[in-house]
Amino acid sequence: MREYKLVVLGSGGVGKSALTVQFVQSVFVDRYDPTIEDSYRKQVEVDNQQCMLEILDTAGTEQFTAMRDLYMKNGQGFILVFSIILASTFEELGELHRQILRVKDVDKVPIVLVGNKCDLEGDRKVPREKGELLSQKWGGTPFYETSARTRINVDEVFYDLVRMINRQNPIKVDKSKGNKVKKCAIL
Amino acid sequence: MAIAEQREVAEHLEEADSSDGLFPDDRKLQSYGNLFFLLQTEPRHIATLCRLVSLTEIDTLLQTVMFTLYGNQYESREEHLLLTMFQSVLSAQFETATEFGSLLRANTPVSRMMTTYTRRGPGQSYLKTVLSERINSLIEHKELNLEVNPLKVYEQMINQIEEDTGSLPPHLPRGVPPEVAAANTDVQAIIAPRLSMLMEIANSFLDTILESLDQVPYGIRWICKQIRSLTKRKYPDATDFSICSLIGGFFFLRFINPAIVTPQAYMLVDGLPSKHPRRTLTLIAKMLQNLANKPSYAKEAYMMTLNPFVENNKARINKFLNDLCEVGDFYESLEMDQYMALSKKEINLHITLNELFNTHQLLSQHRDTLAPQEKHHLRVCLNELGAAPPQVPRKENKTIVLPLFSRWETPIQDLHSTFLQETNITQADIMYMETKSILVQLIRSIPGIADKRPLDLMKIAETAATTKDAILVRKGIKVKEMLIELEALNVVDDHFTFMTEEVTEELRHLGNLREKVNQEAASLEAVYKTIGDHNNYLRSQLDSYKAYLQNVRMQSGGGNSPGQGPGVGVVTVGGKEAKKGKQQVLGPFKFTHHQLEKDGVIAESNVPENRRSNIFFNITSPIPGTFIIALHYKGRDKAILEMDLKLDDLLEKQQDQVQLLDLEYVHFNVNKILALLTKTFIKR
Repeated sequence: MREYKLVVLGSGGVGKSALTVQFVQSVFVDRYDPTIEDSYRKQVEVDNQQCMLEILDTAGTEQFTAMRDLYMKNGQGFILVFSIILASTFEELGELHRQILRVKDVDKVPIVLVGNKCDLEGDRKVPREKGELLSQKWGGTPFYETSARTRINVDEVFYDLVRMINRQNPIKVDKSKGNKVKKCAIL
Repeated sequence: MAIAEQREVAEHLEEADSSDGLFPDDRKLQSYGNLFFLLQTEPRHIATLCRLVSLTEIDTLLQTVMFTLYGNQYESREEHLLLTMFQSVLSAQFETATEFGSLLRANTPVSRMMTTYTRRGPGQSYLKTVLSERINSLIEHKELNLEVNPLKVYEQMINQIEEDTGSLPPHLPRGVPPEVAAANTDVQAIIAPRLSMLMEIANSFLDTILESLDQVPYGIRWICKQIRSLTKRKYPDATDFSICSLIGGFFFLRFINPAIVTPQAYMLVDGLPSKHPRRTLTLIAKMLQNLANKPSYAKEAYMMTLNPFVENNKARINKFLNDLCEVGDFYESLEMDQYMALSKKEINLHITLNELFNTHQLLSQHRDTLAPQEKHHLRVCLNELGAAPPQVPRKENKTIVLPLFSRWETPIQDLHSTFLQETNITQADIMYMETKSILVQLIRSIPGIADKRPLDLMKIAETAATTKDAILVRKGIKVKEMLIELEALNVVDDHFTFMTEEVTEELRHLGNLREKVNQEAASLEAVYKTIGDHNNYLRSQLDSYKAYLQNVRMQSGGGNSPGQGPGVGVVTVGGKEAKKGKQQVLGPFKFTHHQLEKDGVIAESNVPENRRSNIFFNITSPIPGTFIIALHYKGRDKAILEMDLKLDDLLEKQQDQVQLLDLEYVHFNVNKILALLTKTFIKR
């Protein structure tokens, strides 16, 4: 079974943990509990293929930015989350995106852009169009508006990221399977 | 030394010349000096600006503010001004927060300020003292694996088995769900000792931190105090526990834990720790985080196994977080510091051109919000400066010394206007603080007034208002009105419960102030004595040098004169010239205006053309090194003007590249007059 290392990044309080925990455990964590670094694992089926997702939920608190480089080096796909009710969280993603490209040193990295808290439409500060524009600017990366509370588009985000990694790296993966993880060659 | 300095100055001048256009001229520099004086002494401008700029702009701004504008990290005045700026941004944050749960959570100007603030000297050296040793002894054990996440442990276990035996037994498949991994007895056996070891290490970290209470920098404790005070007022229903979690959110989440997780970024260790210790440090930070902020355990299930650590230390941590807030305010000493700063000869900022221009640009951009009125000092400065120059390339980004000064007469303001915002957001907060501060002043000025507990604030105000001291009366009346207004604004309750508490606290902190002041006075006296002794020593040195100089002059200047052989004319130490009788008056030598003008000695002359022929100069040297220049008008006995010249002074002028010597009617060229004197007196 192929393993996918996914990393969830974004500003403090945008709902990275809520989104991840909703996806993995189907629970909504409504109490704010700042994350330092959490990791989850979930087996899913994407396009008739079993995948093991290893999801790293990171600290949004800016004081922990020194950890980011390492996450970016190890991650294969990235979920960049902002909150649609706080404009500054959207603005901060540009720098994160640049940092990923810099660390990875390639033009294209599997990335999904996510505007969370879309159930709070009344407090919206970032119009949908702005998210779409940014996703175009990033080379047509997928963009979802999600709600971790009401489980809107949560699975889609993770599945889409897996598909992107598959598209980007179909051959290399097979190689690594053959070389490293002999047991899995049965699959 | 002097020559080296001179060369340095010359180099600087050249540098400035080479980048002309980029470098602000003198007039601009003066305006900048004015502007930055305003910014430094009235923190409200920066406080407002911090809320207006975007998060991408704020980093550069904060860098300038914390390390340049208030760059003297160990000076109380700059520290206190910076903290007042904090206060104002912090209140605004509480004002705009929609719900308690979201308070101080997102990355905002305040959190940025906190990050940058904790990076100042005192914060960094605290982290070093408290954490460095623990972390370093931990990362020495590179192979110590303390992973307790069953999934990871399971995976490491089967990888090991595969490596050892070449295959995996069928009962140990890959990719099992967390529950299966956690239920595996081998995994449990691996984890159990690790759990107790982790808790032991986390406890040792916690002990060190809790013991360090007195070493925590004042500013950081004061910020904790503000968080507590603002929370109690804005959310009267907030439990003690949730207040503690907010304080913990600052102290642990934003200060301590980042340094534990990434010690290399805080220069606590050399280089990135290796994999296992890094994971251990992360786990310890997570445990401390859970302790400071009630854990939900809805996230990673295995963290539940470390819950005993949280349960055992809950009481200790809450006490610590509350104790952190137990520091006095600084408003009174700030006012004093401000006056002291004014009496200082000069306040200089070492600032780079780009810092200067960037701050200028941000201020201009938000000029209408910061200083809406035309006659506003800030606006006047900005108008004078015009548009901000663009950023210069890195190699031209020089550091300049900017002298700060105030053009306006009353730069020191009372607390009220130091804090006052153009916007009304925090008016009530400021009034609250001012009221509190006046009450404390009153209680300290009137002996016995606060003997009865609990304090009756209204009564204290009334008592003050009926004393015989006019100032106290004025303050008493003012504070009474403010109390009533605060009540009307619903900032305080009917009985001023919370404010009474805070005033009592403040008094307790001030209690041992007298003792401290006495100690300080004693140590200042000791310092004064040392300085006095040193001063006397320097004076005696100076006298010796003077005597020596005089001696040299007499020998070289009068060396050819009859009756004054070498070695005589020695002057005793102490400045008393012993052998005056041997001195010989040289001169007077006469020079006409015309002659001196021709030789270039007279560089400028105010004497009318037709009278110049009647002017002549007599130069006398009564003792070596001293000359009297007398300006005479033909036909008059008395000189129109006499001037004493010391050779030293002239040489100093030459050294300082002063070209002209002012004699009221004429200006002498310094180099030329020196040459003339040498020629006239030394050679003869």
